Amino acid sequence: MKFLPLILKNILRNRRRTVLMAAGIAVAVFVISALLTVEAGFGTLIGSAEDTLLHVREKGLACPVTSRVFDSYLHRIQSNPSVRSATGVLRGLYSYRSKDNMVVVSGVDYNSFRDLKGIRVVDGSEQTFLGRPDAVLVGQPLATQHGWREGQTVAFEQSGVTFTVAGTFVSSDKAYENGILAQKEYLAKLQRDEGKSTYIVVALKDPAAASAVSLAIDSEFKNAPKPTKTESERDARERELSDFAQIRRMLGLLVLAAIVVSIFGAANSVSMSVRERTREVGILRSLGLQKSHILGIVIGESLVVALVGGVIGIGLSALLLSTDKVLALIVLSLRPSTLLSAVATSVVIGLGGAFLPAIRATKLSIVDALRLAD
Amino acid sequence: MSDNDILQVCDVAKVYQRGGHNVRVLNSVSLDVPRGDFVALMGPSGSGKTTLLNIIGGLDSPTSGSVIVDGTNIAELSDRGLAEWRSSNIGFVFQQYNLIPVLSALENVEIPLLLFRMKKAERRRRALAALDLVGLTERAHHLPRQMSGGEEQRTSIARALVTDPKLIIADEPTGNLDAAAAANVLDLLERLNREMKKTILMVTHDPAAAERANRLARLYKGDLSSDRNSEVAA
Repeated sequence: MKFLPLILKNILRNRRRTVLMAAGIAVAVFVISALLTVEAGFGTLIGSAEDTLLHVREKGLACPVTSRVFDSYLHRIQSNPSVRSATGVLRGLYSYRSKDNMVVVSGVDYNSFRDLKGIRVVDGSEQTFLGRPDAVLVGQPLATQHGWREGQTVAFEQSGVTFTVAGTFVSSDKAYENGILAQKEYLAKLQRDEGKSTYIVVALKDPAAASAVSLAIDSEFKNAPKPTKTESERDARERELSDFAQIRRMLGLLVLAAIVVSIFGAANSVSMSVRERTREVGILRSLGLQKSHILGIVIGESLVVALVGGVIGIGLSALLLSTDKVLALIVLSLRPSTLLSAVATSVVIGLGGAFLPAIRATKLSIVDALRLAD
Repeated sequence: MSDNDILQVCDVAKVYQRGGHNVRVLNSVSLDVPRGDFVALMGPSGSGKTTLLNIIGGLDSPTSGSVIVDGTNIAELSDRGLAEWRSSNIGFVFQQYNLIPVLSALENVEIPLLLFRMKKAERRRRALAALDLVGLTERAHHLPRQMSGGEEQRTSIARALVTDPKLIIADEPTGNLDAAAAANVLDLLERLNREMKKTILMVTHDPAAAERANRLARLYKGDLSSDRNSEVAA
């Protein structure tokens, strides 16, 4: 801390270079925060799926959303002695105002679905929802994002579909909370999917029987018009998001690339700064400063700039990512853990960028460094 | 060699490797400096004056021989120990002043004190006292570029003094100054020697500067002439 004034004054020597270094780190931290936020959204979606529930889908489809199983399967599944309950869910994707803004609508048999997914209406009423065929319950994040309130009519103009908001709800499963719940029969009629579900959710009496029940269900419908593929809800959710798996891997690589590029940028900047001050390193060493002091000063300078860049990057992230924006089923919400990761990233960039130039500075011969002055 | 000697340089030789060749810069140089002495070291360019000062100040190491300052053989110190020793025993004054350009005169003088356990207020008090001694109290908050060469050199003398070192090493302290500023700096060094009993070892090309010293040693092609017989004519 004694050398902090020197560190701060050194940083301000070449303001353009310092600003460029801080800006580079700010952009990197923002990119990393954004990517981590998207990744966290995926994680929440998968994490809120349950291993103890089964999903029964149409077998052999590359795209799970196009799956259709008959509602008549429900009775046969419920007749399995290990099954506690089963309910069909019909999914629909509707674009709201623009093609990029997709909203997931899940048609459900509300009474059986409510308990299965811990649905709790926080605004509006279940009676209104059950009393009108076109009534929907909107997940709280989505309602907040669009400002939808009870009684409001929401038109999905491109599909020619209109819903009336009966209320907002929260759920233990973010895959539903980030979308809309409609009455299954009404949605089926809209989509001409009467008597069909996208998948059937099965609750078991004994979770340990999951494998046996899965096999039994798939065996039951082996020769049916639409054979089934039964798996845990978590596996099904991961499969549903498998299209994004490659994107997620790319996101990971982008995070790594952003960090590495920033470290190189910071190293270049610190290196130039140290090279310009070779003589001063010699002066400080001649006055009795240890190599560790020089190391601390160089690393300190880099860390301060990196942290300033990091704070700017976090500020940008907070400004642009903390809107709880729902992207399909993912809520883009800046979390404290993401902010911590961003701070840690800027520290890593600061340390990584300064490491080699700082080591080089300590290895300078005092006499050679002072000779540069003459 | 006597107990009163603060500096004992014994058979110091220095050989550099340059372009695959050995270049002998110092040949078995010996020099004793009594406590409170003011020694001027003269010699032509390339005679090894600065190399000898660097070795005495612990900035460079001899190829052979030993340097003992106030009983400490500095060759026996580790890199860390040598830095600590330098900070409390040696005050350097360079021809180029060598101030840190982004720090004020006061902050420059404070730097050596940062290495000691000392409260900020005490550090400031001592730095201001050193600046007062060299007559630069009014310039305490000026940056080096806002000062004249003479003022910069006086600031560097204040920095050399501030830790109350046993030995002040001055490498051509007037080399970059005009006659008036040089005289001012030499007056100051002379005063430090006479009034504060500081031991000073000064390299100079200027015979007039050398006349301010008590003794004169001459270095020629790496050999030191007998310093004891080179009394400066008063």
